[in-house]
Amino acid sequence: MIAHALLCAVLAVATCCGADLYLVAGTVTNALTRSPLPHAQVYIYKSGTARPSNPYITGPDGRFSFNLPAGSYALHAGVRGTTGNYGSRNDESPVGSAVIVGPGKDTTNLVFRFFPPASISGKVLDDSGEPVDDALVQLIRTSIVAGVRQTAVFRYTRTNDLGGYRLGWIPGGTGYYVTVTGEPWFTKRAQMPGVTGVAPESAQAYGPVYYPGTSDASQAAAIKIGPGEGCMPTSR
Amino acid sequence: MCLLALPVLGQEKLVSMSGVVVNSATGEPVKRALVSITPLFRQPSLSVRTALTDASGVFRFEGVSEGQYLCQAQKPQFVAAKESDGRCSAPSTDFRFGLAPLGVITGRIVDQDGLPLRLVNVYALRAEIQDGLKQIRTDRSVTTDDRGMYRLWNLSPGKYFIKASGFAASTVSYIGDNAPVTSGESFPTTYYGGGKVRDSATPIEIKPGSDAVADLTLTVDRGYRIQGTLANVAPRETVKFELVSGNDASLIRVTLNSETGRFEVAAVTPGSYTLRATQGNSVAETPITMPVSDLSGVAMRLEPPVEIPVNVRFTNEVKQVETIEGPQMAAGCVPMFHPTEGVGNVRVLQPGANPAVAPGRYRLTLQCFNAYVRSALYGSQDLMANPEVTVAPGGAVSIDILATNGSGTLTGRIENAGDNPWILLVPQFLGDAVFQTVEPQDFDMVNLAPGNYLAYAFSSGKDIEFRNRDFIRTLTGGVTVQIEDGKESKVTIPGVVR
Repeated sequence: MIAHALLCAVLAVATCCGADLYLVAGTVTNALTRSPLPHAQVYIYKSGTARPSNPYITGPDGRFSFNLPAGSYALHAGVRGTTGNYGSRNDESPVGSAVIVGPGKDTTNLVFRFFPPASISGKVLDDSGEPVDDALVQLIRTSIVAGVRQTAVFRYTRTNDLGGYRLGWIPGGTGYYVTVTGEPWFTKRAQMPGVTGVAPESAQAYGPVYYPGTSDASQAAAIKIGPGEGCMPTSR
Repeated sequence: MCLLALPVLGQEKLVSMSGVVVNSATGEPVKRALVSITPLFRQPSLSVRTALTDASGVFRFEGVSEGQYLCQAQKPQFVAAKESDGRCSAPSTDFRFGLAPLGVITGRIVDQDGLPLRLVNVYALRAEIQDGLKQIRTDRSVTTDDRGMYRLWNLSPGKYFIKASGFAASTVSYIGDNAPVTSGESFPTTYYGGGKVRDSATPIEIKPGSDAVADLTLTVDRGYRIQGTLANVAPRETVKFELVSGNDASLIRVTLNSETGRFEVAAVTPGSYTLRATQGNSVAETPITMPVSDLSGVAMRLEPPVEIPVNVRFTNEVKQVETIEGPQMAAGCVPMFHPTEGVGNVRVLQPGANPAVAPGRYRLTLQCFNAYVRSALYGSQDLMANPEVTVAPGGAVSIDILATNGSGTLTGRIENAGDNPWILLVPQFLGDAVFQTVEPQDFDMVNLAPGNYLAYAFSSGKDIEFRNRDFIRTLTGGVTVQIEDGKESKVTIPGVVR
């Protein structure tokens, strides 16, 4: 549907003087619940450019709208720091679809399915059951990049005073490995000139330990997590 | 517990030493605390020994030389309780360490619709007295997780303000024409209690082992971009952008092209601010009135530190004194610039040194030796009446001090004061108060300007805002003292005022 917008004269001053503008509108929805997504930021990229439009921020009804000249566009949307591509089928297949805007193209009722991110959280304890603070927790995943399978650290964090960690806003629909490395706090504090007689157990560092508690990487268990899901493993 | 005397090696008698580490707030044993002992005197071995406590909080050292040691215990989330001077001796079986648990503040941050806000900067601000003035400094900062939750730990006892200010931010440098995408939402700085400024914030009192909760609801709204150029940028050096509103400076998300100086601030809510950019000691500031739309064409220029000439004149003849380096001035005054916002070092304008000060706001004090100040001006501003100054970029304002060579001294005693009291001498004329420690009860104060003073004694130097004139006005019971040029005055203060 062509929108011969009266707004053209106002909107098109800088970039599209004289060009017809077409309405590109739709709803951002939670792909799992299908409910409208408020506070989603929707960006439009013209094909071949790297600079997006100013974001449209959805209201309670999840609706967005732009008036654009004819052409091919990429549509991105996300909630506060995460984005997805219009037309992607899940988080693991982020490739989206272009939106073709122009005469005879109905772009007024698009449905942007946003896959909510997942999270993995847990606790790191030492062999006496005490929390380990400042341990490095790494999330490893295997993915296909440019046609090549790669296994790499995807995200990392450090534990807090309770040994707790949380890796939030990660893509669901895939498997992750969790590995932990660290050092007992008393080892770090005892590493000063002239210190002797440190308790024997402090002479070594922890790990790496793979979830669910093995130092053998081949025995590590992948945590399979879906979009919007949370998982709470504990490592020792 | 038993004492075990081990075989004697030469003249050295080896013994054992043991004790317990407890939580000073609850009395419970602290397991896996690290105890260290350091020989204090004449032990053949100067090495430090350490041991971990067991599940009952008990530690034990075997084969220790007889003598005095400095003993310490530590564990994350604890600090040493001030129960002893840390000295212990071997042999002994009953040494008791107290560890005071530190505090925690946790909370959840949501928007006006109750939705959790991720990556919000949360600051724990703490008031402390530095050089006689109350300073608010950031004790810790964290960002919220995907549930909007945050946790601040290892907090020493004291009063804290919790502030949420901006989303996790930094200046991102880029090359080329397209700035990276940034978020389009923002919220005004908000304190726990709902206030937008610190004066209306609700403080949280943290005691040893406290576990406080501070949830905040933020009003998130559409933010708009500020686009502009920053001149004088040194390539490949960090630039920090801040948005200043009142006495709050917030870090913001900025993309900066370090080749062209073109910058873009991500998301700013409508209102009035000062936009500040800092690179090293150079500062750029410009007032911003943010409309309900993007703002472009903002021109800023990094200005180097400002040279401030200091002119000291004397009302009388100043005698030269002979030193190894030759004749030198026997008196002088140097200005000291104390930053009044953020954290910064005191800048002292020493004679002969580069008299440059970074643009900003300061409290000026004048440090004189063998002299006292009659008048002092910063430009046309009377520093004796108002020591708060603003060093503007590119300005060439001088400091003019009129001083008199000479001074008096005061000796005296504080009675009924306990160990290590402090004395405060408040001039009954325009000038800075003098505050110093007393050991154990006799004191000796030099370089005092002649005139009348009121003397007050305090049992401790902690939390005394001696440069705050409002604080000084609350004091009562001062002892009158008269200081005369070239003379020694004496006073006895009967007790502490607090």
